[in-house]
Amino acid sequence: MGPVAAWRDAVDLRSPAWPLLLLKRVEKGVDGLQKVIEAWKAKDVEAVLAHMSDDIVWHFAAAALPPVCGKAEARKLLTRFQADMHEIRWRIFASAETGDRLFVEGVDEYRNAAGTWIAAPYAGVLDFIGDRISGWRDYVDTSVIAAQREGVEPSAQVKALIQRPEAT
Amino acid sequence: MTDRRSVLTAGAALATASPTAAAPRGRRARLYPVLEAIMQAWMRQDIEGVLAHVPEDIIWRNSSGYAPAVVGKEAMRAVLTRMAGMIARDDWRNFDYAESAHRLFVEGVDEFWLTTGQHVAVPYAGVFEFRDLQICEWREYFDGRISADMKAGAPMTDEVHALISRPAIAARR
Repeated sequence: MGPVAAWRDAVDLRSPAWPLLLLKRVEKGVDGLQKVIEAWKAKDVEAVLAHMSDDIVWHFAAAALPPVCGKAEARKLLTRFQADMHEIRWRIFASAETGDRLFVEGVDEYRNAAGTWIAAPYAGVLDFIGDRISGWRDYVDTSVIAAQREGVEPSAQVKALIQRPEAT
Repeated sequence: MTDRRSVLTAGAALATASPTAAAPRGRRARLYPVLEAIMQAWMRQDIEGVLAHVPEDIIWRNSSGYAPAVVGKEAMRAVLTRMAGMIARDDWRNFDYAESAHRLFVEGVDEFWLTTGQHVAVPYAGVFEFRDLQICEWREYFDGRISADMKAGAPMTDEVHALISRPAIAARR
């Protein structure tokens, strides 16, 4: 999807408030997340943390695992992830925003320390205070990740979910 | 390892971080009312009422990739009919949503009680693609283990409880 198509996809031109919606989109939300993604691809933990509030509540596997609470815990988790995630191909397929909340759909794809490629389709919800993420909930199926860690080829349905054009 | 107290604190933080999550924000929803109509139909087990909002070529990805998609209205009817026979009461609700031109995103919980007595609550995020105000592709993201464990009788975890104890979007009457 090109930038014009992405722009048209994100902003409902039938809304009388579309110029404001566009401005909001430019200012924060998915653009902030893209900065986080770039920082994470560069394995720059501190740059990722710079986009989080001090009291962030991060459900990295919403409902399946306990969240990490606060920047210190987030730093520990990111450091642990850093050791296991390589050649990161985290990408976003679509997004929409409302108020201070961003919804995204994407895939977390990487090669783990054992050399196995992992592709986890997910949908995320991020709450912002100013330009910092204060709440982050990623909904993902942990059994999909576990199967791939054990060497099972990603299923046809996983492939269908992740073989989509990246939002630009 | 995160202990129980920090989980509960996280739940409280989650609730207080978004005190207006369920409050109307003056948004003019265009797509969400279609999902609301589907939810209301489903909660009275009106399967045809659900199917009225999807085209013949609906693709329903009702897992995060662990199960094949349900393709076509007839296949969806069969799945819904099987599900309806297992569910005694349903309290499917959403906490918030956002729309783009033809796509609706929601965060919510599918909470229900089976006819065999088990209580199941699956926090989820959903993405709905629209064509002519019908949902042509429906994708749900959640952890299937939560659903499987609770259907087998496992109690609700603190993590699930924290996520679903948020104010829901009030249903239109």
